[in-house]
Amino acid sequence: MSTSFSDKKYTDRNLLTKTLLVFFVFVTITSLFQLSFGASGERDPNCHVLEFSEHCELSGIGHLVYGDLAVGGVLALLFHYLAHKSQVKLDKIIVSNEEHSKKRRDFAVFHLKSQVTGMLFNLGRIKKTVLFYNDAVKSPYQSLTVEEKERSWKLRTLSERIRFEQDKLARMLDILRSTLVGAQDVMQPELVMQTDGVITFVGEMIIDEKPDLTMEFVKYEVSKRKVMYLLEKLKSYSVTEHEFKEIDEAIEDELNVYNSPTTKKTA
Amino acid sequence: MSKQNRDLDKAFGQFSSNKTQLCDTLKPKELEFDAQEDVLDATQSIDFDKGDIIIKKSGIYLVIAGPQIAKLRGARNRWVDFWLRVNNVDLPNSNVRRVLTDSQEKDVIPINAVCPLNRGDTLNIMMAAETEAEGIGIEAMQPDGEPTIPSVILTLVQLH
Repeated sequence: MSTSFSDKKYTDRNLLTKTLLVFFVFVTITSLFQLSFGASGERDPNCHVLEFSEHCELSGIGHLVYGDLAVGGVLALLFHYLAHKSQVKLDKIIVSNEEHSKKRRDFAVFHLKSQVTGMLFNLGRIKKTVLFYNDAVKSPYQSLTVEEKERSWKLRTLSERIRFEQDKLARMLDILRSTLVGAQDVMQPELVMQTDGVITFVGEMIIDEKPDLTMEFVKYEVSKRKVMYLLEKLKSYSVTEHEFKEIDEAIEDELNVYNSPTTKKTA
Repeated sequence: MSKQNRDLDKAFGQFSSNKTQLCDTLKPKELEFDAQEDVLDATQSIDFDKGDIIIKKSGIYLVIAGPQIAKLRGARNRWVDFWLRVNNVDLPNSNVRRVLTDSQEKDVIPINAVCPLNRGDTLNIMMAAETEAEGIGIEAMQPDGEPTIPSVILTLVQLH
């Protein structure tokens, strides 16, 4: 679409047409002025100053008035034509931009959804690996036995696995932030802020090593909840309407099973 | 009153803790909550999980917290700071400080802020003290014939 506007031949032809039109208007105006000033001779006093008939020659003022009307009409038509033409072009550009934005939004939401789901999966894997690691730590120490060899292998492997998953999470967060930055002009500011909040929170999450050598993936439940809220919002996007549907934020469809045992409510 | 009639447009919530929480480390510590006033189904709009206040409705919020500060030991001047943290990141210009001298001193210092919070955002109240050895922190008390004095009360109201 945009390449046709920048086409050299098209621009040259357009310029030639405009130049000819301007030249034509200039010549017409000049001629009419010349005619109006050049109009002379005896006129019938019974003829009206603007009268133009068989026995009445057109007066100088008549020339000017009728000439003005003709030139005004031509100019009006010309400007209307030019304005209409540029308006059509502008409309095409606007429609094209809107379509482009919609496509970019669709693409961004699709990718955000898959990346956030991937992040949730990764968080779950870290949590589970930490649990396996803790089980291995808690299993009894038996020196110089096959069981101990397996225990230390488990500890080493799981510890490396946790580090690997953490690095992977960091990479995923970078990708997620890049997607968000690239699409922030076509997304709702609220969603951009919410996604940014999730990225910030997950990015600051740590695995706490305790004195008994066990580990704790701090704030996993809260992070899961935040990610689910974000997924819920992303899932409300309609590809046919290219918009997010209204969701009742007070209702937790995704998380109705979530209930922390550490909390209590007082009436 | 039916549930439909009680549904409110704006989110709000009040949280408190009936546990004494002391600075046992020089690192910043999160204040934990163990109760939420379930007024007009407020739990529908703001929830909590230990020290994390979880926002369910996006908007601009007024945050007011009042920790009941105390010091259990020592007679030297020691400072204690409180500030807000959103999504694990400290909120700029939200810190307040109080200096405590002895164990007889009890005070409530207000922390207030207005900040935009989105659905899923977490809010924490952080505490840090000059020393971890003198029992500086927030104290819950149970006076005779009076309601409990919680160690911290937090109120959140959605403004917009």
